[in-house]
Amino acid sequence: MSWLKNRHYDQAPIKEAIIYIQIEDPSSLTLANFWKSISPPQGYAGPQKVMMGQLRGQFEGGVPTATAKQDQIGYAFVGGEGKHVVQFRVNGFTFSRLAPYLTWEQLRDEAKRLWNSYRQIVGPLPIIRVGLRYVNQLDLPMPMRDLRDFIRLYPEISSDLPQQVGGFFLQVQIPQADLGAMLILNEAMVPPPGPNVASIVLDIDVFSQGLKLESDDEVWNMMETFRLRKNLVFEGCITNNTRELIS
Amino acid sequence: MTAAQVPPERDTFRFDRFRPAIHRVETPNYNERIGELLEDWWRRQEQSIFLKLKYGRIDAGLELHRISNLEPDWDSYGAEAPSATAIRASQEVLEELAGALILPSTIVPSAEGGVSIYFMTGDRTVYIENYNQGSQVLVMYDRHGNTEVLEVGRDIVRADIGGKILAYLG
Repeated sequence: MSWLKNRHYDQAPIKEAIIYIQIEDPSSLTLANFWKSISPPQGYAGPQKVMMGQLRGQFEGGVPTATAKQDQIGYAFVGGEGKHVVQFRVNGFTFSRLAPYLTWEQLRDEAKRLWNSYRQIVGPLPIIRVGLRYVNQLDLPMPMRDLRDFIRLYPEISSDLPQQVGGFFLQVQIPQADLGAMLILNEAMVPPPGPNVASIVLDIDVFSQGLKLESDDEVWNMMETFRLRKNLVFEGCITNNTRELIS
Repeated sequence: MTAAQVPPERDTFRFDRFRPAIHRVETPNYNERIGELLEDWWRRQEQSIFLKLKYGRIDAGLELHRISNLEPDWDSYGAEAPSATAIRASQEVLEELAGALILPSTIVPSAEGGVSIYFMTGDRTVYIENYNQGSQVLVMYDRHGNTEVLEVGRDIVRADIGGKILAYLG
Protein backbone atom coordinates (compact mmCIF):
# COMPACT_ATOMS: atom_id res chain seq x y z
CA MET A 1 0.00 0.00 0.00
CA SER A 2 3.01 2.34 0.22
CA TRP A 3 2.65 3.14 -3.49
CA LEU A 4 -0.67 4.78 -2.61
CA LYS A 5 1.01 7.14 -0.24
CA ASN A 6 3.46 8.51 -2.78
CA ARG A 7 1.72 7.93 -6.10
CA HIS A 8 2.04 11.07 -8.18
CA TYR A 9 0.55 11.87 -11.55
CA ASP A 10 2.20 14.63 -13.58
CA GLN A 11 -1.16 15.61 -15.05
CA ALA A 12 -3.29 14.91 -12.02
CA PRO A 13 -6.95 15.67 -12.84
CA ILE A 14 -7.52 17.31 -9.42
CA LYS A 15 -9.43 20.54 -9.93
CA GLU A 16 -9.91 21.21 -6.25
CA ALA A 17 -8.83 19.69 -2.97
CA ILE A 18 -10.91 20.64 0.07
CA ILE A 19 -10.22 20.17 3.77
CA TYR A 20 -13.17 20.98 5.99
CA ILE A 21 -13.69 20.93 9.73
CA GLN A 22 -16.90 21.70 11.55
CA ILE A 23 -17.03 22.74 15.16
CA GLU A 24 -19.80 22.47 17.70
CA ASP A 25 -22.24 25.36 17.29
CA PRO A 26 -20.78 28.15 19.38
CA SER A 27 -23.74 29.55 21.32
CA SER A 28 -21.88 32.72 22.32
CA LEU A 29 -20.41 33.51 18.90
CA THR A 30 -22.55 35.60 16.59
CA LEU A 31 -21.56 36.74 13.12
CA ALA A 32 -21.19 40.30 14.45
CA ASN A 33 -18.64 39.47 17.16
CA PHE A 34 -17.01 36.86 14.90
CA TRP A 35 -16.38 39.74 12.45
CA LYS A 36 -14.80 41.87 15.19
CA SER A 37 -12.13 39.28 15.94
CA ILE A 38 -11.38 38.27 12.36
CA SER A 39 -8.48 39.46 10.19
CA PRO A 40 -6.97 38.15 6.94
CA PRO A 41 -4.45 35.36 7.52
CA GLN A 42 -0.93 36.18 6.36
CA GLY A 43 -0.72 36.09 2.55
CA TYR A 44 -4.48 36.31 2.07
CA ALA A 45 -6.79 39.10 0.91
CA GLY A 46 -10.40 39.69 1.76
CA PRO A 47 -12.77 39.19 3.30
CA GLN A 48 -15.61 38.23 1.03
CA LYS A 49 -18.92 37.27 2.53
CA VAL A 50 -19.74 33.55 2.64
CA MET A 51 -23.38 32.85 2.05
CA MET A 52 -25.07 29.61 3.01
CA GLY A 53 -27.73 28.53 0.60
CA GLN A 54 -30.60 26.36 1.58
CA LEU A 55 -32.61 24.72 -1.13
CA ARG A 56 -35.84 23.01 -0.25
CA GLY A 57 -37.24 20.64 -2.81
CA GLN A 58 -40.68 19.21 -2.29
CA PHE A 59 -43.80 18.06 -4.03
CA GLU A 60 -46.83 20.26 -3.75
CA GLY A 61 -49.99 18.94 -5.29
CA GLY A 62 -47.96 16.47 -7.34
CA VAL A 63 -45.73 19.23 -8.75
CA PRO A 64 -42.00 19.42 -7.83
CA THR A 65 -41.14 22.84 -6.43
CA ALA A 66 -37.97 24.32 -4.97
CA THR A 67 -37.36 27.37 -2.84
CA ALA A 68 -33.99 28.89 -2.00
CA LYS A 69 -32.75 31.26 0.65
CA GLN A 70 -29.30 32.56 1.55
CA ASP A 71 -27.82 33.72 4.84
CA GLN A 72 -24.37 35.01 5.58
CA ILE A 73 -22.43 32.54 7.70
CA GLY A 74 -18.85 33.73 7.55
CA TYR A 75 -16.00 35.23 5.56
CA ALA A 76 -13.67 34.00 2.81
CA PHE A 77 -10.10 35.01 2.06
CA VAL A 78 -8.19 34.41 -1.16
CA GLY A 79 -4.45 33.74 -1.30
CA GLY A 80 -1.80 31.65 -3.07
CA GLU A 81 -2.19 33.74 -6.27
CA GLY A 82 -5.90 33.03 -6.35
CA LYS A 83 -5.44 29.27 -5.92
CA HIS A 84 -6.18 29.14 -2.19
CA VAL A 85 -9.53 30.03 -0.68
CA VAL A 86 -10.15 29.75 3.03
CA GLN A 87 -13.57 30.16 4.62
CA PHE A 88 -13.89 31.10 8.27
CA ARG A 89 -17.47 30.38 9.26
CA VAL A 90 -19.11 30.75 12.62
CA ASN A 91 -19.40 26.97 12.82
CA GLY A 92 -16.47 25.75 10.76
CA PHE A 93 -13.52 26.04 8.49
CA THR A 94 -12.98 25.12 4.84
CA PHE A 95 -9.76 25.33 2.88
CA SER A 96 -9.69 24.86 -0.90
CA ARG A 97 -6.71 24.44 -3.17
CA LEU A 98 -7.59 24.98 -6.83
CA ALA A 99 -5.70 23.53 -9.81
CA PRO A 100 -2.84 23.06 -10.29
CA TYR A 101 -2.65 20.75 -7.30
CA LEU A 102 0.83 20.52 -5.87
CA THR A 103 1.29 17.99 -3.08
CA TRP A 104 -0.61 16.62 -0.12
CA GLU A 105 2.04 17.97 2.22
CA GLN A 106 1.62 21.50 0.85
CA LEU A 107 -2.17 21.26 1.13
CA ARG A 108 -2.13 19.87 4.67
CA ASP A 109 0.50 22.27 6.00
CA GLU A 110 -1.27 25.34 4.62
CA ALA A 111 -4.60 24.08 5.98
CA LYS A 112 -2.99 23.52 9.39
CA ARG A 113 -1.55 27.04 9.44
CA LEU A 114 -4.94 28.57 8.57
CA TRP A 115 -6.77 26.32 10.99
CA ASN A 116 -4.53 27.62 13.79
CA SER A 117 -5.59 31.20 12.89
CA TYR A 118 -9.22 30.12 12.95
CA ARG A 119 -8.74 28.36 16.28
CA GLN A 120 -7.55 31.58 17.83
CA ILE A 121 -10.86 33.19 16.91
CA VAL A 122 -13.29 30.46 17.96
CA GLY A 123 -11.40 29.02 20.90
CA PRO A 124 -11.26 25.39 22.05
CA LEU A 125 -14.65 24.18 20.86
CA PRO A 126 -15.05 20.46 20.11
CA ILE A 127 -14.81 19.32 16.50
CA ILE A 128 -17.87 17.46 15.29
CA ARG A 129 -17.15 16.81 11.61
CA VAL A 130 -13.95 16.32 9.60
CA GLY A 131 -13.74 15.81 5.86
CA LEU A 132 -11.43 15.58 2.89
CA ARG A 133 -12.82 16.08 -0.59
CA TYR A 134 -11.12 15.91 -4.00
CA VAL A 135 -12.93 17.09 -7.11
CA ASN A 136 -11.34 15.56 -10.21
CA GLN A 137 -12.20 16.19 -13.81
CA LEU A 138 -11.18 13.46 -16.24
CA ASP A 139 -10.96 14.72 -19.82
CA LEU A 140 -11.29 11.57 -21.91
CA PRO A 141 -10.52 11.38 -25.64
CA MET A 142 -13.41 11.00 -28.03
CA PRO A 143 -14.58 9.01 -29.84
CA MET A 144 -14.35 6.25 -27.27
CA ARG A 145 -15.32 2.64 -27.62
CA ASP A 146 -16.65 2.25 -24.13
CA LEU A 147 -16.64 4.39 -20.99
CA ARG A 148 -15.44 1.29 -19.16
CA ASP A 149 -12.10 1.61 -20.95
CA PHE A 150 -11.40 4.61 -18.72
CA ILE A 151 -13.49 4.43 -15.58
CA ARG A 152 -14.62 1.60 -13.37
CA LEU A 153 -17.58 3.32 -11.75
CA TYR A 154 -20.34 4.01 -14.21
CA PRO A 155 -24.07 3.61 -14.69
CA GLU A 156 -24.79 0.25 -16.31
CA ILE A 157 -27.03 0.77 -19.33
CA SER A 158 -29.15 -2.22 -20.21
CA SER A 159 -28.16 -3.70 -23.57
CA ASP A 160 -31.83 -3.44 -24.52
CA LEU A 161 -31.53 0.36 -24.44
CA PRO A 162 -29.78 2.72 -26.86
CA GLN A 163 -26.13 2.96 -25.75
CA GLN A 164 -25.46 6.58 -26.64
CA VAL A 165 -25.33 8.52 -23.36
CA GLY A 166 -25.84 12.28 -23.42
CA GLY A 167 -25.25 12.78 -19.71
CA PHE A 168 -25.43 11.15 -16.31
CA PHE A 169 -25.18 11.88 -12.62
CA LEU A 170 -24.37 9.15 -10.13
CA GLN A 171 -24.00 9.19 -6.37
CA VAL A 172 -22.95 6.30 -4.17
CA GLN A 173 -22.56 6.36 -0.42
CA ILE A 174 -20.20 3.72 0.91
CA PRO A 175 -19.64 3.44 4.68
CA GLN A 176 -15.96 3.13 5.64
CA ALA A 177 -16.53 1.16 8.81
CA ASP A 178 -12.82 0.69 9.57
CA LEU A 179 -12.33 4.47 9.64
CA GLY A 180 -15.63 5.33 11.26
CA ALA A 181 -16.26 7.41 8.17
CA MET A 182 -18.47 7.73 5.11
CA LEU A 183 -17.43 7.91 1.48
CA ILE A 184 -19.66 9.84 -0.89
CA LEU A 185 -18.77 9.51 -4.54
CA ASN A 186 -20.40 11.78 -7.06
CA GLU A 187 -19.74 11.20 -10.71
CA ALA A 188 -21.20 13.28 -13.51
CA MET A 189 -20.70 14.13 -17.12
CA VAL A 190 -19.94 17.84 -17.49
CA PRO A 191 -19.33 20.15 -20.46
CA PRO A 192 -15.83 19.46 -21.83
CA PRO A 193 -13.13 22.12 -22.27
CA GLY A 194 -12.98 21.53 -26.05
CA PRO A 195 -14.01 19.32 -28.96
CA ASN A 196 -13.24 15.58 -29.09
CA VAL A 197 -13.22 15.31 -25.32
CA ALA A 198 -15.74 13.86 -22.86
CA SER A 199 -15.39 15.22 -19.35
CA ILE A 200 -16.33 13.32 -16.24
CA VAL A 201 -16.25 14.85 -12.78
CA LEU A 202 -15.21 12.37 -10.11
CA ASP A 203 -15.91 13.93 -6.74
CA ILE A 204 -14.54 11.93 -3.78
CA ASP A 205 -15.60 12.99 -0.29
CA VAL A 206 -14.42 11.07 2.79
CA PHE A 207 -15.74 12.40 6.06
CA SER A 208 -16.57 11.53 9.61
CA GLN A 209 -19.35 13.18 11.57
CA GLY A 210 -20.95 12.93 14.98
CA LEU A 211 -17.52 13.40 16.54
CA LYS A 212 -16.50 15.24 19.66
CA LEU A 213 -12.78 15.75 19.19
CA GLU A 214 -10.99 17.99 21.64
CA SER A 215 -7.51 17.67 20.18
CA ASP A 216 -6.42 19.12 16.84
CA ASP A 217 -3.83 16.34 16.48
CA GLU A 218 -6.65 13.84 16.19
CA VAL A 219 -8.04 15.83 13.27
CA TRP A 220 -4.78 15.79 11.33
CA ASN A 221 -4.20 12.10 12.03
CA MET A 222 -7.67 11.47 10.68
CA MET A 223 -6.90 13.53 7.56
CA GLU A 224 -3.87 11.31 6.86
CA THR A 225 -6.01 8.18 6.89
CA PHE A 226 -8.70 9.88 4.79
CA ARG A 227 -6.09 10.87 2.25
CA LEU A 228 -4.91 7.28 1.86
CA ARG A 229 -8.50 6.12 1.51
CA LYS A 230 -9.18 8.81 -1.05
CA ASN A 231 -6.18 7.62 -3.10
CA LEU A 232 -7.42 4.05 -2.89
CA VAL A 233 -10.88 5.12 -4.05
CA PHE A 234 -9.48 7.15 -6.93
CA GLU A 235 -7.35 4.23 -8.10
CA GLY A 236 -10.38 2.01 -7.77
CA CYS A 237 -12.38 4.23 -10.10
CA ILE A 238 -9.93 4.46 -13.01
CA THR A 239 -8.31 2.07 -15.47
CA ASN A 240 -4.77 1.79 -16.83
CA ASN A 241 -5.87 3.82 -19.88
CA THR A 242 -6.69 6.72 -17.60
CA ARG A 243 -3.45 6.26 -15.66
CA GLU A 244 -1.58 6.60 -18.96
CA LEU A 245 -3.55 9.74 -19.79
CA ILE A 246 -2.70 11.51 -16.55
CA SER A 247 0.88 10.25 -16.09
CA MET B 1 -65.38 -1.22 -18.94
CA THR B 2 -68.78 -0.16 -17.72
CA ALA B 3 -69.92 3.42 -18.05
CA ALA B 4 -69.88 3.83 -14.28
CA GLN B 5 -66.04 3.51 -14.15
CA VAL B 6 -65.44 6.67 -16.21
CA PRO B 7 -66.98 9.86 -14.85
CA PRO B 8 -69.17 11.11 -17.71
CA GLU B 9 -68.00 14.72 -17.44
CA ARG B 10 -64.31 13.78 -17.99
CA ASP B 11 -62.29 13.26 -21.14
CA THR B 12 -61.04 9.68 -20.88
CA PHE B 13 -57.75 10.58 -22.60
CA ARG B 14 -56.75 13.33 -20.19
CA PHE B 15 -53.86 12.30 -18.01
CA ASP B 16 -55.06 14.24 -15.01
CA ARG B 17 -57.58 11.49 -14.39
CA PHE B 18 -54.59 9.44 -13.13
CA ARG B 19 -53.59 12.00 -10.56
CA PRO B 20 -55.32 10.41 -7.62
CA ALA B 21 -53.40 7.20 -8.31
CA ILE B 22 -50.07 9.08 -8.41
CA HIS B 23 -50.87 10.66 -5.06
CA ARG B 24 -51.48 7.24 -3.58
CA VAL B 25 -48.05 5.87 -4.53
CA GLU B 26 -46.19 8.96 -3.35
CA THR B 27 -44.87 8.54 0.14
CA PRO B 28 -43.73 11.26 2.52
CA ASN B 29 -40.32 9.55 2.71
CA TYR B 30 -39.88 9.69 -1.03
CA ASN B 31 -40.58 13.43 -1.08
CA GLU B 32 -38.24 13.95 1.83
CA ARG B 33 -35.50 12.01 0.09
CA ILE B 34 -35.86 14.14 -3.07
CA GLY B 35 -35.53 17.25 -0.90
CA GLU B 36 -32.45 15.86 0.86
CA LEU B 37 -30.76 14.98 -2.43
CA LEU B 38 -31.42 18.43 -3.86
CA GLU B 39 -30.08 20.08 -0.75
CA ASP B 40 -27.05 17.81 -0.58
CA TRP B 41 -26.12 18.50 -4.20
CA TRP B 42 -26.58 22.22 -3.69
CA ARG B 43 -24.43 22.16 -0.55
CA ARG B 44 -21.73 20.26 -2.42
CA GLN B 45 -21.70 22.83 -5.19
CA GLU B 46 -21.59 25.64 -2.64
CA GLN B 47 -18.62 24.06 -0.86
CA SER B 48 -16.58 23.55 -4.03
CA ILE B 49 -15.15 26.69 -5.62
CA PHE B 50 -14.40 24.72 -8.79
CA LEU B 51 -17.95 23.39 -9.20
CA LYS B 52 -19.50 26.72 -8.30
CA LEU B 53 -17.41 28.44 -10.96
CA LYS B 54 -17.96 25.69 -13.50
CA TYR B 55 -21.74 25.67 -13.21
CA GLY B 56 -21.83 29.46 -12.79
CA ARG B 57 -19.96 29.85 -16.08
CA ILE B 58 -22.31 27.41 -17.79
CA ASP B 59 -25.35 29.36 -16.53
CA ALA B 60 -23.80 32.67 -17.60
CA GLY B 61 -22.97 31.25 -21.05
CA LEU B 62 -26.53 30.03 -21.51
CA GLU B 63 -27.89 33.41 -20.46
CA LEU B 64 -25.60 35.24 -22.89
CA HIS B 65 -26.63 32.84 -25.64
CA ARG B 66 -30.28 33.59 -24.92
CA ILE B 67 -29.62 37.33 -24.93
CA SER B 68 -27.65 37.12 -28.19
CA ASN B 69 -30.77 35.80 -29.92
CA LEU B 70 -32.95 38.78 -28.99
CA GLU B 71 -34.51 40.72 -31.85
CA PRO B 72 -34.60 44.54 -32.07
CA ASP B 73 -37.49 45.97 -30.05
CA TRP B 74 -37.25 43.01 -27.62
CA ASP B 75 -38.67 45.22 -24.84
CA SER B 76 -41.43 46.63 -27.07
CA TYR B 77 -40.01 50.13 -26.37
CA GLY B 78 -37.69 50.12 -29.36
CA ALA B 79 -34.50 48.83 -27.66
CA GLU B 80 -31.66 47.68 -29.92
CA ALA B 81 -30.76 44.01 -29.88
CA PRO B 82 -27.43 43.36 -28.11
CA SER B 83 -24.64 43.42 -30.71
CA ALA B 84 -22.00 40.73 -31.26
CA THR B 85 -19.46 43.23 -29.88
CA ALA B 86 -21.38 43.62 -26.60
CA ILE B 87 -21.81 39.85 -26.27
CA ARG B 88 -18.11 39.22 -26.89
CA ALA B 89 -17.07 41.93 -24.43
CA SER B 90 -19.42 40.40 -21.84
CA GLN B 91 -17.95 36.94 -22.39
CA GLU B 92 -14.43 38.29 -21.95
CA VAL B 93 -15.21 40.20 -18.79
CA LEU B 94 -17.05 37.18 -17.34
CA GLU B 95 -14.05 34.94 -18.06
CA GLU B 96 -11.69 37.40 -16.42
CA LEU B 97 -13.91 37.73 -13.36
CA ALA B 98 -14.30 33.95 -13.05
CA GLY B 99 -10.49 33.84 -12.94
CA ALA B 100 -10.76 36.15 -9.93
CA LEU B 101 -13.40 33.81 -8.44
CA ILE B 102 -16.27 36.25 -9.10
CA LEU B 103 -19.58 35.13 -10.57
CA PRO B 104 -22.42 37.42 -11.65
CA SER B 105 -25.75 37.56 -9.85
CA THR B 106 -27.65 38.11 -13.08
CA ILE B 107 -27.14 39.06 -16.73
CA VAL B 108 -29.74 41.08 -18.61
CA PRO B 109 -30.06 42.86 -21.94
CA SER B 110 -29.77 46.61 -21.63
CA ALA B 111 -32.56 48.90 -22.79
CA GLU B 112 -29.80 51.29 -23.92
CA GLY B 113 -28.42 48.66 -26.27
CA GLY B 114 -25.98 46.12 -24.93
CA VAL B 115 -25.60 43.74 -22.02
CA SER B 116 -25.61 44.48 -18.26
CA ILE B 117 -23.86 42.15 -15.84
CA TYR B 118 -24.98 42.52 -12.21
CA PHE B 119 -23.24 41.65 -8.95
CA MET B 120 -25.28 42.10 -5.79
CA THR B 121 -24.82 41.63 -2.09
CA GLY B 122 -26.75 43.08 0.85
CA ASP B 123 -27.71 46.64 -0.01
CA ARG B 124 -24.94 47.16 -2.58
CA THR B 125 -25.02 46.55 -6.32
CA VAL B 126 -22.41 46.73 -9.04
CA TYR B 127 -23.08 46.34 -12.73
CA ILE B 128 -20.98 46.42 -15.86
CA GLU B 129 -22.71 47.90 -18.84
CA ASN B 130 -21.31 46.56 -22.13
CA TYR B 131 -22.62 48.90 -24.81
CA ASN B 132 -23.29 47.81 -28.38
CA GLN B 133 -20.56 50.10 -29.73
CA GLY B 134 -17.93 48.48 -27.51
CA SER B 135 -17.58 50.89 -24.57
CA GLN B 136 -17.96 49.65 -20.99
CA VAL B 137 -18.86 51.35 -17.73
CA LEU B 138 -18.74 50.09 -14.17
CA VAL B 139 -21.58 51.39 -12.00
CA MET B 140 -21.71 51.00 -8.21
CA TYR B 141 -24.63 52.08 -6.08
CA ASP B 142 -26.30 51.42 -2.76
CA ARG B 143 -29.77 51.76 -1.28
CA HIS B 144 -28.92 55.16 0.20
CA GLY B 145 -28.56 56.71 -3.23
CA ASN B 146 -24.74 56.77 -3.40
CA THR B 147 -23.60 56.09 -6.95
CA GLU B 148 -20.21 55.94 -8.64
CA VAL B 149 -19.74 55.50 -12.39
CA LEU B 150 -16.37 54.57 -13.90
CA GLU B 151 -15.65 54.32 -17.60
CA VAL B 152 -13.54 51.28 -18.31
CA GLY B 153 -10.33 52.27 -20.06
CA ARG B 154 -10.50 55.88 -18.90
CA ASP B 155 -11.27 55.77 -15.13
CA ILE B 156 -10.35 52.14 -14.48
CA VAL B 157 -8.35 49.53 -16.37
CA ARG B 158 -10.14 46.29 -17.12
CA ALA B 159 -7.75 44.21 -15.08
CA ASP B 160 -8.79 46.16 -11.96
CA ILE B 161 -12.54 45.56 -12.32
CA GLY B 162 -12.53 42.37 -10.22
CA GLY B 163 -10.66 44.02 -7.36
CA LYS B 164 -12.98 47.02 -7.45
CA ILE B 165 -16.08 44.82 -7.35
CA LEU B 166 -14.75 42.82 -4.40
CA ALA B 167 -13.72 45.96 -2.53
CA TYR B 168 -17.13 47.55 -3.03
CA LEU B 169 -19.27 44.51 -2.27
CA GLY B 170 -17.10 43.36 0.62
